[in-house]
Amino acid sequence: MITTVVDGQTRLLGARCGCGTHTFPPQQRCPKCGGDMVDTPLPAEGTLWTWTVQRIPPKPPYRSPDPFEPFAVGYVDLGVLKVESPLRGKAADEWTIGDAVRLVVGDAAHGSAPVTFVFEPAPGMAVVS
Amino acid sequence: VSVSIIGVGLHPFGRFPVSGREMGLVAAKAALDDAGLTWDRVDFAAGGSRDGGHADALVSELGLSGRPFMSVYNGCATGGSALLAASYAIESGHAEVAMAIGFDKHDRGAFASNPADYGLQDWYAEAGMMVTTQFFAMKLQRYLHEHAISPRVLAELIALSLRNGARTPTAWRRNALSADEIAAGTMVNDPLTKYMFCSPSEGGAAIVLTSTERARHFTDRAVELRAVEFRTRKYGTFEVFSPSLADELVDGASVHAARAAFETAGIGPDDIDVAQLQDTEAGALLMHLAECGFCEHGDQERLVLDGELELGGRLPVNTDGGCIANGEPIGASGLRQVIECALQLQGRAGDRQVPNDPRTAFTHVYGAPGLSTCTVLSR
Repeated sequence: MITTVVDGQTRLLGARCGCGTHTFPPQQRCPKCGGDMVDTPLPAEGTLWTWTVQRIPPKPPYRSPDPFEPFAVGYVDLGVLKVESPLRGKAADEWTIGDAVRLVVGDAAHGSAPVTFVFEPAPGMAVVS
Repeated sequence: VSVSIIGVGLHPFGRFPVSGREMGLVAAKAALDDAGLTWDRVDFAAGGSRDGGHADALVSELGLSGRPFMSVYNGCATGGSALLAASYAIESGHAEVAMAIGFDKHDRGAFASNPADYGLQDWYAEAGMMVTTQFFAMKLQRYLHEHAISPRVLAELIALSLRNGARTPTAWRRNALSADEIAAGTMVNDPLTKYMFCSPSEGGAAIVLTSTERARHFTDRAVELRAVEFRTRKYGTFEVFSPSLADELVDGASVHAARAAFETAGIGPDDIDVAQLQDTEAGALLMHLAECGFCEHGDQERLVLDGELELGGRLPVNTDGGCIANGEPIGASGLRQVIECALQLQGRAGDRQVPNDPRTAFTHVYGAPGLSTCTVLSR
């Protein structure tokens, strides 16, 4: 499982250690101190920390739309950690570090790239660079 | 005990109609010839290859001497790990003469990765994120942003590598390209164009070591191996195939390996006359210049524009064209760097000989899953 439902909203499921370290996806032992971790839902909104455009089709088992379309991918800073994710909702090369984004999970994430979660622009959120 | 290099041998890098093992043998024989020794004088050898077969299979054509041959595999640090093992054998007194051998033969488009091998689930690859070039681009985009560096410097660095490769008979890619051509190449993962990546290739490399004290009995052009240091990632570095990154990032393995190598050698980056730095892609070379201590983060553009990294500059870098011009046969790549430094220090680098009468040299490897080996050499 990489998602969980909190108050009717699907969120990414991470893990947290007593030492403050978070991971995604969840794992049982902490990558920093080796301690036991517990599952925890991750924040659904953040800012784009870095990104690129995937212009060449990834190799299998990539589930490509037909025909393949270049897509943006980046790391989203959620405060407690940064999560890697496809990006949707803008032209692939028009993203900027610091863009406010929010999570979309499940069927709603199935746009041009058939993936289980994406982040898309979150208008109205404060933009932090 | 101080360790010195008394022989080096290289099978050219590129694509060849022979086995990886054959390339390892050619390199090993060349290194022994260079040292004026035969295989039966070698007390200990370490060798590595990812796709070329078991390294210890070389002995069936080198001579079944019964001596220890240790096969090593350590990702991009495979050559460095072989060198480390051989160097330990000399330092500890277990061997009078030791060898490090590396060879490889990768298919076009090698290094495809299986999520399970990295402890990852299929969704990560199904979503299109299990792509090494994508990782390089994202790490670089962040670096350019944080240090306000123009992507133009990437094309300049590749142009430099290809110019040096054009002067290197053993290199694979020997056609220079202008920075404009490189920048205008097909974009693969922004900001990296197709010319800005190294490719999997083939080749072999071997080095013969002995103690510095004994070295003068074998040759008058020994190169002292002042340091070989190997480090792996700490928590919080930015590595390939990471579904998440720590909230606070820390220095990568290169920083720690380079620092340790300089500390062991007792000299610093400013004392180095020629250097070979891992250039899996243009951004790696850019970042490694600063991570290894040769400039401040963000100061790379000045080094490039002032010509300091050219063969005739203050710090000639990747004088044989690096991985960009040679490709990257995993097992051999790190040893190639050390051999290039040895040739430069000995004044045997031909058309690419740096003119600054180099006395000290540095090599650096970085690779998946977050490890680095650095060496310091002097004559």
